Amino acid sequence: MAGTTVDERLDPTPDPGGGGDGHVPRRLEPAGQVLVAMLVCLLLWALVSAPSLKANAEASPFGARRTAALAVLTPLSAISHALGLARLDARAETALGRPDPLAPPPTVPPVTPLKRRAHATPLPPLRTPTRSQPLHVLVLGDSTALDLGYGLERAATPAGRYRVTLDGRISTGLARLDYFNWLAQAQKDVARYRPDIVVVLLGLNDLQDFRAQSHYLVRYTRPWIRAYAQRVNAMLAEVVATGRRVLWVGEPIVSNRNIAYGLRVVNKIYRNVTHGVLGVSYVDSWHLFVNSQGRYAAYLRNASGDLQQVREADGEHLTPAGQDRMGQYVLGIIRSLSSPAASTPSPPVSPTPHASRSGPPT
Amino acid sequence: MLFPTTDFAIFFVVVFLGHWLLNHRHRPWRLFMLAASYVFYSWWDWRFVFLLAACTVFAQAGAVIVHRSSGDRARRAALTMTLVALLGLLGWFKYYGFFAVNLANLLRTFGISPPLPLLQITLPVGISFFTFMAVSYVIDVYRRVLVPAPWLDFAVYLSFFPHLVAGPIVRGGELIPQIRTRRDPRRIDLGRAGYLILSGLFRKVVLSSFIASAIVDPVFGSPGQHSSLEVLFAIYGYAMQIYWDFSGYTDIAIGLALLLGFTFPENFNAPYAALSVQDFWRRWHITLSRWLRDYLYIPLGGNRKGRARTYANLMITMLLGGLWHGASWTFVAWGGLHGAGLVFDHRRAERRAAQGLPLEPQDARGRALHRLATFHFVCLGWVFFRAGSFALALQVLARLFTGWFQASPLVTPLVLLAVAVGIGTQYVPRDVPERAQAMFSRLMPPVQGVVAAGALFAITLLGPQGVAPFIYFRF
Repeated sequence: MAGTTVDERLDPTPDPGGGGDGHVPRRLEPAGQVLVAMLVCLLLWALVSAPSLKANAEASPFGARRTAALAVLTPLSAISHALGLARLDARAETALGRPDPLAPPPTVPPVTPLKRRAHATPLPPLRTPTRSQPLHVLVLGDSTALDLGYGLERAATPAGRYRVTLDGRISTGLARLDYFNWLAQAQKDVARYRPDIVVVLLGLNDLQDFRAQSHYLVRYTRPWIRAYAQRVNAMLAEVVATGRRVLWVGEPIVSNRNIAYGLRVVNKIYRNVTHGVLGVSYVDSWHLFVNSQGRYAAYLRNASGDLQQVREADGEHLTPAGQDRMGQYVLGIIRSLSSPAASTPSPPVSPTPHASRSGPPT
Repeated sequence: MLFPTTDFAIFFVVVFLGHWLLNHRHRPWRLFMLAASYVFYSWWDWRFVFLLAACTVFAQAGAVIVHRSSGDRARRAALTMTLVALLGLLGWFKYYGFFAVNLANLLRTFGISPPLPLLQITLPVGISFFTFMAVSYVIDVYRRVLVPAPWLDFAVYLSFFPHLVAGPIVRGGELIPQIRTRRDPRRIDLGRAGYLILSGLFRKVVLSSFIASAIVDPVFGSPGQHSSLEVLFAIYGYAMQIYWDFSGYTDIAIGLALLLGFTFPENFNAPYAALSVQDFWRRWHITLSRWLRDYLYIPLGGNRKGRARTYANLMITMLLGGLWHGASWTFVAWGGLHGAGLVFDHRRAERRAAQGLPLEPQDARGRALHRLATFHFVCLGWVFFRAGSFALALQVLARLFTGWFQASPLVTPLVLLAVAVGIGTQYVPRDVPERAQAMFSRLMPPVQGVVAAGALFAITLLGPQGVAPFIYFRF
């Protein structure tokens, strides 16, 4: 510890507001010295963390902000490598079980042909769950999957015949596998939890441009749709190969029109990729949160006729009442898979005729 | 702009430089600080800077009219109109949906379907905080505690970025004089500021995020799927999470203000070491509890109108204090629970005073029992605060008794350690952090930078990817 001779600047007075009793005097410093300390701190931190910061910047949505961040972080990262500091950050990240920021981005396998219902022996119904042998449901996806998962868990609890495991990661999806690799995670989760059925819900974070095989793909264009569908196919193939049933849930309607448009695009991709695949059902949740005109509704009536707020203020996520609505609906579909005689559930509110597009259970 | 982000770090370095370069030039400094604060606020949604500006204009115009009015009636009328305008803005943005849904459901029981538009209004960040600051300013002018500040000074006071989104709720009498005088650029308390900022970041980014994802969110999401032990530790965990989250953020705010030469009041003082509910409110969100006392409880009559009115005033104050936190009946229930706790404390204090006994137990065992009981009472309140609905809150409480002897995989050694650390730190003597601050203050500036960089690296490494949403923003 370096000493200083500026003892006349020791502050013996108590902190106003009761912040201290003044028994331990502190040295008060001029603004210039504080600025030096701040700059040293930020510069050193930025140098050591440069690989992680650069990896985060690369995984952020394309645009001016990302370009500016990379313009600063690329030379900083080079200096960090030259000084050997980059390895320190990478080692610390991997020691904590996180992806190595210096590792190359993951690759997407080519499209795998999936077994179609039309060309295969139909799968038997899912076994009937009992209290002693509950059906194990694994929910994977982004923050909307967390909403669905909580609703599903609560809906499933009273019967005691379903066990729900939830792996929801906020801000993730399939567009930016460099930020979070769902293809690898889905494989890992299925091997670890060995569920009877896997429920997937993601897409809200995927409405952005991304790079695939060094091509820059602008969202909603044909190449973008093709590359995104390839990722959906790859994730589906990982799970279906293990013999698990899959419910791929489409994103529900949101309040923002631009985002809603994007969700229609990705929902269509999910519907197309899952269509006719053996053991896979597409579940449309769009209509669960629309009013009688088929438009986004933040408030809807429950079974007893009371109005409830079902969407959070951001117009995207679900309130507990909304989670329950979605959870009960998806649980009804899971039930119908193990008892084919049971009818596919109707949504908790009368949907508009055009809004309901639930795929048939396999 | 969130404090724990790279954006904010860059923003603050620029503001720090501009602030101290312009410090000796009062008008340019005020314009600079006003612009910086508005840029800070517009980072979330630029449209809401108009709301902040409207709030500033309403409050200042009201204060000036109150000050210039001569008769009591005119002064009171001006005050009332200003409060209606300020609280009307808050009511519209924060409570319209809640009001409309509850009214529609109430009228439906009488067979009436009112044509109420069910709008979903985005809640502007920090509106509850700056509205309360504006209200206190106008009332202080009405009470002749303050004279209206110049327009620019008031605008800087209300929008000053360190306190803007989550407090502390700094009063006009505390901050405006500091805005009007030059700050001494040779006397910056970096030791204390650095400690507050780094420890605040650690609590907010590392501890709060960890406990939320490790146990609190899964259990409160679906309590029925978890064991009683998990539910119990999720409740303890949430008590820690909200403390780390909120105290961490306001400590960062206090530290940033210190770097700019401003002193903010303290907002937390080891709340989970409280001996009673009354004591808890002297230690938790201190700037809010003194606001509620001075601008709600005392104007209602305080304890001056007999026992029954005192209790009623306590209940009203805490019910409204609960509603301030959010437009939901669960927050009202939380406030009501604390109101009942305060009534109980008052009644007990009266009885003990009548018997000539000291207010609090003097022996260590008695004090420990009081602390334990108060902590658990506060935890009971947090269940309503955290649960998204009454049904969920009741499920959490019921699950405490119906799921023992089940596996509890979420109660990991790290969770136990985090809760133990959270409770243990409430009892750390104040001179321990003060010694650390003093040691840090005596280092050479480059060495201070290296130490702080190490701490920052550890925080970013141990924290989650991205920043978890801050609990108190929605209030």
